[in-house]
Amino acid sequence: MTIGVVVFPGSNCDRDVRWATEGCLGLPTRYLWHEERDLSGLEAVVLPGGFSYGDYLRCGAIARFAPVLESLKAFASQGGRVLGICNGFQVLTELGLLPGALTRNRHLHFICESTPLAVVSDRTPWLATCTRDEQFSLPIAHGEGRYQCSEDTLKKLQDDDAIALRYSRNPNGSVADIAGITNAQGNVLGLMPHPERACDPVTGSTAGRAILEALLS
Amino acid sequence: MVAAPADSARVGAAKTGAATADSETTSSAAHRRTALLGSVTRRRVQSTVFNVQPAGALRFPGLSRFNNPRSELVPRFQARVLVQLRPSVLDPAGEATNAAAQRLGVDGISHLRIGKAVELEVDAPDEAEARRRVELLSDRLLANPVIENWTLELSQS
Repeated sequence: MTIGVVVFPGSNCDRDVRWATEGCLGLPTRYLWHEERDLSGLEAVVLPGGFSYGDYLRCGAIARFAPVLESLKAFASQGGRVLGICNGFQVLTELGLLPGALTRNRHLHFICESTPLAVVSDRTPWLATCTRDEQFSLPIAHGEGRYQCSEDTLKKLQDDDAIALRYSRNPNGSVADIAGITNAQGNVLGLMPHPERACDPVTGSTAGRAILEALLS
Repeated sequence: MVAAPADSARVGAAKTGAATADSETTSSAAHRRTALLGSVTRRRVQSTVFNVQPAGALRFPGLSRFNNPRSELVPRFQARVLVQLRPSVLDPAGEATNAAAQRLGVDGISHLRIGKAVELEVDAPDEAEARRRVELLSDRLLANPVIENWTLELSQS
């Protein structure tokens, strides 16, 4: 029962995630270098925030070809839990594990603040301990977090009950205020807010614990 | 290369400066002919050494393939891929630039949208194959079809 945290060149939240899962929640965690292919012994994999491969071309566009992600596709199709946070969410959309894409914020600013969120679906294990419409705040820190998708994709997300989290005050112009989505099966979650930055009481909030605890629940 | 024997022919003619104008012209012409023949011979030798058909080299400039025993020349194509956000996707950077154009006092600017131009060269046996490869690259890597469109301009060097 171990969590793997992928480390790309340019990841900068990998150690934050490990501190949150291992240091705050006591869940066994190890790093996964982007060139590794062996995911054996892992129950869940986290793609952390940062700027993988410098975010060249598009956020997540180069990371998509990392060897570890070939294994991750098989891992996810077998039902393994995958959590993409911020840049990790961008990588998951480029990889095709989640639909849509993340684009430049509406007002072009890099936004770094705590933002109120609402739980849209408690269908998946990620938010099973929450109730629908429950509100909590998590930190966001991104320049390219405006979720974009076609009308058809949005309808499919709604039909699948795959929208996990919504912004209560949309900070970046995301379609339908989307802050986080899951795949239809529910084992893959991508979100722009940073739950790992809200786990240690020292930093002011522990609202992110529920999502990270779901990695091994 | 060609000029050197011709020069020495001239120097030779100058050394026998006392000779008549007539003989000077004759010897000079003979030297030039030898020089010209020499250059032709040398070019043939070169083409044997590099196993390259001079006419082919002119027709298809490009790199020979190292793994091809016949050292066949593959033409090189220049490609430019323009990646643009789809019309339905908001381009906040374009809008900010449009607003700046108005502040600058340049009137009548509208529909300003910012994309990327990717320039690259591709060695391929023919244009259709070159196009196929760059199209694949554009679809899979250079553009994200969820939010972006792309167009390709291809030309042979």
